[in-house]
Amino acid sequence: MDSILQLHHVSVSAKVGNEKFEVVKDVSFHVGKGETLGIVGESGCGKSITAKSIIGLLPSNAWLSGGDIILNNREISSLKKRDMRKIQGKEIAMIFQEPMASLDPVYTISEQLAEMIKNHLKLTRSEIKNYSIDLLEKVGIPRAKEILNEFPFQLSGGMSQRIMIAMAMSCKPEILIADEPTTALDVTIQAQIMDLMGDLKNENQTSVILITHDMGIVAEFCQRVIVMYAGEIVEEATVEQIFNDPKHPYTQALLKSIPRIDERQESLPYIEGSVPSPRSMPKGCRFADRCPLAFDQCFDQEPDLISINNQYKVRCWLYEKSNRKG
Amino acid sequence: MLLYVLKRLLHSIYVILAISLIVFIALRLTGDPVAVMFGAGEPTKSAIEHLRASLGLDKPLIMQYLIFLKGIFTLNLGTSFRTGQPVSGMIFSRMGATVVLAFAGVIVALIIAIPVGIISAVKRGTAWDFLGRIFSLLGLSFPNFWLGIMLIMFFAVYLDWLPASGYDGPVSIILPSLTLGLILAGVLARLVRSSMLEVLNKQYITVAKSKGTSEWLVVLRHGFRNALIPVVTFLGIQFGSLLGGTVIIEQVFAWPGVGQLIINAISERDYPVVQGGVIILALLMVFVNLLVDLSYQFIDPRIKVEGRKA
Repeated sequence: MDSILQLHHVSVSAKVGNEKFEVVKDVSFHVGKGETLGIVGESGCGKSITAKSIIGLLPSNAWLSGGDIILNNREISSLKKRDMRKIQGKEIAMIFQEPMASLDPVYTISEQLAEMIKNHLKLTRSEIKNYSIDLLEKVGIPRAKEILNEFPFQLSGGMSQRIMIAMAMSCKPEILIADEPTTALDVTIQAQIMDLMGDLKNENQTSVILITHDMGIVAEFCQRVIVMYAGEIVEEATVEQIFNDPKHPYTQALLKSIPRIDERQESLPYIEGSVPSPRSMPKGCRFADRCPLAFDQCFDQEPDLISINNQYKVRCWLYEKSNRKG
Repeated sequence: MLLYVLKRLLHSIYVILAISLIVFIALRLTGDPVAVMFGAGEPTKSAIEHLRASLGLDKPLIMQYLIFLKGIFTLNLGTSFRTGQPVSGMIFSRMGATVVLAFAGVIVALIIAIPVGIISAVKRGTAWDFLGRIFSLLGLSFPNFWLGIMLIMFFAVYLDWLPASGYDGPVSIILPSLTLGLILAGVLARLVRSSMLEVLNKQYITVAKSKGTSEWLVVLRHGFRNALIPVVTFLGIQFGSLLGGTVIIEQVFAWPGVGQLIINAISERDYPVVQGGVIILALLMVFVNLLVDLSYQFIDPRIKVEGRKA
């Protein structure tokens, strides 16, 4: 599979007050053409920040402190804002967690769609209007013509997310970043939205980076998965490998905390403790404090991300040791 | 919408009633106008009685108040104790000057405060933000009459560019409107800044950037447009104190407006002029607030004026 996007050793730092923290550390991965890559992890593990660094939308107090981002053999992280704007929306589009908060309350849907289309496609006003109607119909919005003239407060969350998807797909991006696109929606709507995204993605051969903490969605929609913990990648594998034989104790714990219908459980297992703050990162493995399998070495030295095979990487001393033995 | 306007006008009657009562009582606590009118001389008792009767001050207080009220609703505000001219005429001939000054002040304030507030918010934490906040602080701390006098000293006395006071053609409005505007701009810039900071954190701002729209366009099109709503509300509320400021500024610059008229009338205890002037300013205030409330529906689509369907 051709890789269309590559991250090489990307680090992101942020400044809070007068303190600087590294919030994403040495993240490398690639996305193939038409592939869906899942990024999972607890809140605050750096998933969203990593995604925002790709599309050049880091918050004003954060910046890329190392690494390269390569889109179609072109380094984009050092581009000037003016050049980056031609990529934003056109080559990389993004949809966000809260669809209702994604639309500007004072503009109509057509105005907000047109803003995106005008930025990247050379169309006349009437062409933009017709295209907008097509787009809304494609994402399953009834009465598309009328909805175009409505304001965001007149729409439901599911409708808003459909519109955001229509907007994101309007310029046929090569990469769609979906940051927890269904977290804020009803369970019944979630499946519809995910199916819609899947259809559009297949139709346009778009690559998707799907950020989520819902392992069910990962199982259904992704080909490969990256598990992040405290700003680092701890495991990278195909979906089959992750679900059948998770290597990292953190991934194992994540999978165990999914409720199962075929097992009666008194209480749902959860991972004790919380993600270490970037203010006080442990010097050893970042998960050691919460890890049931941790031993001395884990607290002293941070493990590298080691390749188990071509498609499998894990950051854990357990596998370093077994590698040495074998 | 018409229904809404009528409803609002009906409500404003309570406001006018309350204000009329307060002015009426407060004025009668300031002393006897007849005593002031005779000045240092020693009038005979019958002369005093005669004057009282001719001014209508011999009637019981409740009657005097009812006459005043009737005047408000028939737009006949009586005649001045001093000049004998009809009060309505005196006020309306000066109303224009006050309204022009107040609006010029608001425009000056907007022209200064909007860019200062926006830049302060966008360049938060930088030297620009610091300068903007210093400006706001100064605007908040200077008393308007002091600033007016300073501007007169500098531009009229020292540089001799502009007239110091009175009304000498259109240039005369520069200094008084600048005084009013600068003071208002201090508070307003602060408000624009905080309102912008709030809006710029919203997700739709990030979304707009993700479309490849340039940063300044996002700030103006999505940021300022949304930050405008609290700013308009504030201007509406602030219009009252702006009129209050105008009364003082008119005195400083000898601006021939209603404020100056009222202040002179107070010192002369010219009851009808003071009462009439205050009521007219109150009506103006009610009218501006109504305009502000009606403007919301154009700024924020989520607000539809009730009774619009009717």
